[in-house]
Amino acid sequence: MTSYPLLLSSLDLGFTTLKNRVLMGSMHTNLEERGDWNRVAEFYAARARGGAGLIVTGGMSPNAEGGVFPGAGGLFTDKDIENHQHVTGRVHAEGGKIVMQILHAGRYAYSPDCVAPSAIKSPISPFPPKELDGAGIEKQIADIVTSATRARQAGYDGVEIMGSEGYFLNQFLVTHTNKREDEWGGSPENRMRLPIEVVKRVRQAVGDDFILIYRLSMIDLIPKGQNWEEVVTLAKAVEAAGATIINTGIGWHEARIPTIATSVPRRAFSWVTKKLMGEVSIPIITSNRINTPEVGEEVLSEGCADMISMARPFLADPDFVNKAATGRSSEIAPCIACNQACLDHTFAGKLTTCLVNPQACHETEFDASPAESPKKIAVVGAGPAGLSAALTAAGRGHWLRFLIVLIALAGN
Amino acid sequence: MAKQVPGKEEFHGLVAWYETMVEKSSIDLRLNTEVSEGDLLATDEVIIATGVTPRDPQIPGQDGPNVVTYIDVLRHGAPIGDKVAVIGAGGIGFDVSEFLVTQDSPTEDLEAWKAEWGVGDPSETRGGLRPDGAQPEAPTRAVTLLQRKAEKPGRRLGKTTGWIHRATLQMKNVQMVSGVNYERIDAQGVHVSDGANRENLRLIEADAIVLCAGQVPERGLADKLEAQGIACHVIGGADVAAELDAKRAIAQGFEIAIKL
Repeated sequence: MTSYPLLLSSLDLGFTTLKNRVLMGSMHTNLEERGDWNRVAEFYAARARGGAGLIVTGGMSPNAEGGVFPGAGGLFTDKDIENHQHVTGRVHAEGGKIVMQILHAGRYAYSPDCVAPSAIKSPISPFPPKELDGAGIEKQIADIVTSATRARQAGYDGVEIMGSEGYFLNQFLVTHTNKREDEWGGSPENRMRLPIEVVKRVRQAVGDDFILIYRLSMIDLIPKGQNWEEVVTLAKAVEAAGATIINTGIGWHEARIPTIATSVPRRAFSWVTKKLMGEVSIPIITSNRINTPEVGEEVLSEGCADMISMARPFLADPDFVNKAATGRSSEIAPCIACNQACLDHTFAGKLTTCLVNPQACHETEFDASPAESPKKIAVVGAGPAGLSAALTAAGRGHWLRFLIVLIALAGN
Repeated sequence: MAKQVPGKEEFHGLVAWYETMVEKSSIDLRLNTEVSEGDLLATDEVIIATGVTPRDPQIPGQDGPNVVTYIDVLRHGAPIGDKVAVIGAGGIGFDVSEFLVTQDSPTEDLEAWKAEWGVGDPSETRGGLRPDGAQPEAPTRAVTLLQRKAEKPGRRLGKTTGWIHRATLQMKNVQMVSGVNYERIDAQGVHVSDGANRENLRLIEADAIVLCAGQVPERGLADKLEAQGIACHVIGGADVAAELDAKRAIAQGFEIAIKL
C-alpha cells in the first residue's frame, strides 16, 4: 500500500506498459546542442533511475526551417541517430522509457527562414514567416514523418508530436494565424487537416507498437483561439488517426496570461484537461504547475486525467518518483517554478540548470560523491548559500561542526 | 522573506525542504548563536555565508519616522500607510510593491487568479479568454515605484517572468518613475528631480517610504577572520550582493562543498 496509489499505478498501453502515471515533460535544456552525448545521456538516465514512468526529450526539429533557433538539434544524419542511441540505451538500462518530442516551431522559429500557414509575424519573434504552398506543407509532413522513423531507429519508445503552445501545428488550427483559403485553411475541418495528417502518416510509418503522444492545445489563451467544440473534435480525430496518448498544452507562448510561473496556482489548468476526460478512449495527460506527489495524486483522484506531466520538478529532483514511492516525499527537492535557471537560461541561449539543484544538467561535471577524508566544517549563515554548502558537505560525509543561523557577530 | 510576497508562496516549500534535510543530516544546527573565532579555529574549513545588509542610499531625511526598509515590511510586518513610495525598482522593489498592493494572494485562490488574468472557459469563449477581460482586485494601496536608472522599470527581472511582474503592477495602478534623483525625504514624501542636471524638482507624495535600494555584502566576520590570518570561504551574498540571488548563492555553496 503506497501513499500515492493512483500516481504510482501502472498504465497499460496495450503493446507496452508504463510503470507509473508520472511523465517527465519535455524541456529544452540546450544540452543536445552542446554535443556532449554522455552528458545528455546521464541527464536523462538519472531521471529514469529516479523512477519517471515515461520521459519526453526536449523538442527536436524535423528540419532546418522548423528549428526553434538556427542549429537546433534533430535527427538529420546517421551520426545524430547514433548519438541519440546512446541516450535511449542508457535510459533503457536504468529501466526507463523515453520518447522524443518532435517540435516544429513554425512562425516561432527564431530564424529568417521560418515558415507558417500564413505570412503573419508573431508578436514575440522578429522574423515574418514565409507562407507555405501546398508542396511546402507536404514537405513539412514528410520531414516530421522522417523524424519519427529515425526516432524509432534511435531506440526511442515513441514520439511526442508538439501540437500546442502556438507552434507550427497549432498555428494551422486557428484563424489568428491561418488565413489560408485552400484545403489547409478556412473551415475548422480544413484547419485541423494538418495535425491529423501528421498523426496519421507518422502512425503508418512507425508501426503500431510505438508510443505516439499528441500534445494538444486545450486552451489557447489568445484571441481567436480554438473553442471547446474544436478541441474535442480534434482530440477524437487525433485518436482515430492513431495517437496512443493525448498530452495537454496550455496557452500559446505569445499569450499574455502566465501559465507556468510560480505565481500561477498549483494545478491551475487541470480543470481544462478534465473537460476532455470521457470524450476519447485513449489516456490523457494533464500538465502545468504540478510539483508535489500530493498534488499529482489529487489531480488523478479527482478524475482530471489518467497521468500527470511534470517537467521542471525533474530538474529540482531526479529522484522525485522514487522518493514518493518510499515514504520520503518530504525529501523531494521542490521545484519553486522560478524559471531562473531553466527557462530564463534556455531563452538566453545558456544551458539549463536549476536554482534548487545546481547539479541539474551538470550530472557528469559535478561529483558530489563522499569525500575521501571527512573534515570538520563550520558554516556561518543559514541562508541559501550556507544551507546549500552545509547540506552538500554533510551529504559527502563531512562532519558539519556547526551550521549557525546568525543573529550577531561576536564583538560586533 | 520571499515567501511573504504574493505569488511566491512556493518558497514555503523550499524552506520546509531545507528544514527537513538539515534535520535528517548530521548537521549540528545552532540557531541564534554568536560566533567566536575560537569556535571557528576548532574546525578544518570555515565557510562564511553571512548574506547581505541593505545598502544605505544616503538620502537626506531617510531617518524620519515615515521611512522603513524592505526588511521591516516583509520580515517584521511594519504597519504601512495607504500612499507609499518604494525606492528602488529591482527585484525586491517589485516584490515589495506587489506585497503592498495585494490583500489576498490570487495564487492561493484559483478562481480569483483566473479573474485577475482574464482566464475564462473555452466552452464559452474562443481561446478561453474571459469576454470582459482581466478583472484584477483593486489595489490595497497607492504605490509609486521609483528608480534612479533611466530605463524601463523591471528590465533586469527574469527573462521569462519579468513581464508578469510588470503586468501585475500595472494592473494594480502602480506608478513607475525612472531616472530620478532622490533629493530628500520629509513628512510630505520623497522629493525627486530628473537627470544629471537635477531638473524638474517635484514631490512624490507618500505617507510611507520603503527603501529597497540594493544590498552590500555582510563581510564583518569574513574581514575579521582574514585580518587574523584565518582562512575562510566567503560565499553567497557575503561574496557578491547584487540582487538577492538565491540561484548564485545555492550554486556557489554547492560548488564549494564538492571541492572540500
